[in-house]
Amino acid sequence: MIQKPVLPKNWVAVGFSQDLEKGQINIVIIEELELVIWRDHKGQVHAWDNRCPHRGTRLSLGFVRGNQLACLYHGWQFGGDGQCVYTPSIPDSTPPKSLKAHTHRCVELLGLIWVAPLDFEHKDIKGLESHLRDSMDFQPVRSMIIHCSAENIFNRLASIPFPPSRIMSRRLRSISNMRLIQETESVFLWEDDENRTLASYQFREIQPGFFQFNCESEGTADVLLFALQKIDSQKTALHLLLAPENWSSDPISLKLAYAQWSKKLRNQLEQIF
Amino acid sequence: MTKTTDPVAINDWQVIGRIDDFLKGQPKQTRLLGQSLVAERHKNGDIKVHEISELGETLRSCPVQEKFGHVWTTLGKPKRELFDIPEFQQIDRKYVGCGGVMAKASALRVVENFLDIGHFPYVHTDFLGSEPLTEVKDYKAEIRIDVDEVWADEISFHQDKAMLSATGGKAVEYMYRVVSPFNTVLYKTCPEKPEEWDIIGLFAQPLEENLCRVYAFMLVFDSQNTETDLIHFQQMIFFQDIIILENQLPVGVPLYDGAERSIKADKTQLQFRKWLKQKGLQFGTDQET
Repeated sequence: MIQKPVLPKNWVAVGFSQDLEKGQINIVIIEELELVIWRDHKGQVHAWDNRCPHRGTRLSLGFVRGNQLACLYHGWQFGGDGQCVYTPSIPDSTPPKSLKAHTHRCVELLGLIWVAPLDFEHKDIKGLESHLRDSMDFQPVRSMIIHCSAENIFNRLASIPFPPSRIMSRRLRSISNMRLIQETESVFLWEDDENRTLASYQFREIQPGFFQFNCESEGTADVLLFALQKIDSQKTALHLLLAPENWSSDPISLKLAYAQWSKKLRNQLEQIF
Repeated sequence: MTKTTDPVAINDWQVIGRIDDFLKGQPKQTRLLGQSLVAERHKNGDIKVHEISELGETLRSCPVQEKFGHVWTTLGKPKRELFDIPEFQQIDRKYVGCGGVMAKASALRVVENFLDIGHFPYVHTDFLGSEPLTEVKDYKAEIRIDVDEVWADEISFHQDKAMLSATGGKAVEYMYRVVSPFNTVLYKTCPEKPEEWDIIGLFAQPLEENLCRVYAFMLVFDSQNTETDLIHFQQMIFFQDIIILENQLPVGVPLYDGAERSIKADKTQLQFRKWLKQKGLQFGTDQET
């Protein structure tokens, strides 16, 4: 008998808001639990178990009509709160309250879509914003799937810094006798012979699976946000956001530089673990 | 892949192919309820079926019968004879055996889908039904204890193209009959001979809990269409169903309370589930955690 999967008791980021348009439906998996994520025509996002309460059909095969999701099998229509409002085979009756999709909390913040269990006892997700400086303008860089456990990703990022080229430039890397020092558990510094800090790399966990990285060198300061979504014990989705000190006249190049860096990071993670 | 321990599934007749699928001197390997089998038609025409080990060693010999265009065997000792479909004796009916189609689904889900009418406007749009005529009016469904079968009748549904021989949309009458857990037939209004029923049947070979091979067949009055056309029509319908069948969770049918919600239109399925529960069938069901 296999234990049925359940959502972990914290907020999990499952993708970028910009990647889910009105009327669009996606499937996401959190710790082996398959969810349907959909956006109604008002713009509201919803996250439910990907299983119609009738005969277990994947709701992700259905279609969005206005602010309702209809199941492909029998056309049952569900409102945003998960309540079935219409069963076409008995068109003149109001469906009982027991006909309901299994819903979860779903909000959008920082350009990400977040999911948590309905009964999750924790302060509202807005609390996340208080961890971050108001002046930072985070933009999505990319989402990717990494064949590596979420725990290993965290351990790796926390113990072996992997500085992006914007921070660890070729010029810096060519400096001989540059040393890497771990100042604290979460702060790495690159110093020269005279103990001058050339570059720094600092990370902190804002909440389980959600980290902030501050990378600085020679007047460049970038802040990265990593949101990890554990798919299963060997696969994790990573959603990367960036807030440079200022978005220059070429934000696309900046994002591209970090997208390429994240690809290299994935290669590293998939080889080692 | 191990043989099931479910006595209800073991001690019953199951289909393993069409009669024409077994040619003399060409042994065929197949699987039934998790058990590997080999079936061979000998020079004298008889089919012999054996259980075989994973290494191919011949084990127990299984009883065989050829009936209704198909080959049947059992891994145990059935308490009753194979069911009967008397309409096979009607000589002016056209018999069409569509052949086996694999479905990554529990055979019980396949049978339940066959019994379901509410999905016609959504899965078989513009053939077996379409919006806005989606209502399934009340009908009768029961477990007939004397014959140990599930029956549903007095069903009526508007169909745009109910059968290949149908010309234009109209109300179609239906009756359903489940003759054993993985085998079922339906009777529907015959467009060519309104005083008769056309018959469509489904024999599901349960290979594994999440895999089956489905043999559909027809016994119809149709002087216009070829066998090929009839098979194509039926295959189109079934491929539309496969989209659903391979996307139902859990894979096995949950017979315990609270797992799935039903409405009035699901009467036949509810009687079917009650009947399966009474039998104690495990294979193809979802177990409560």
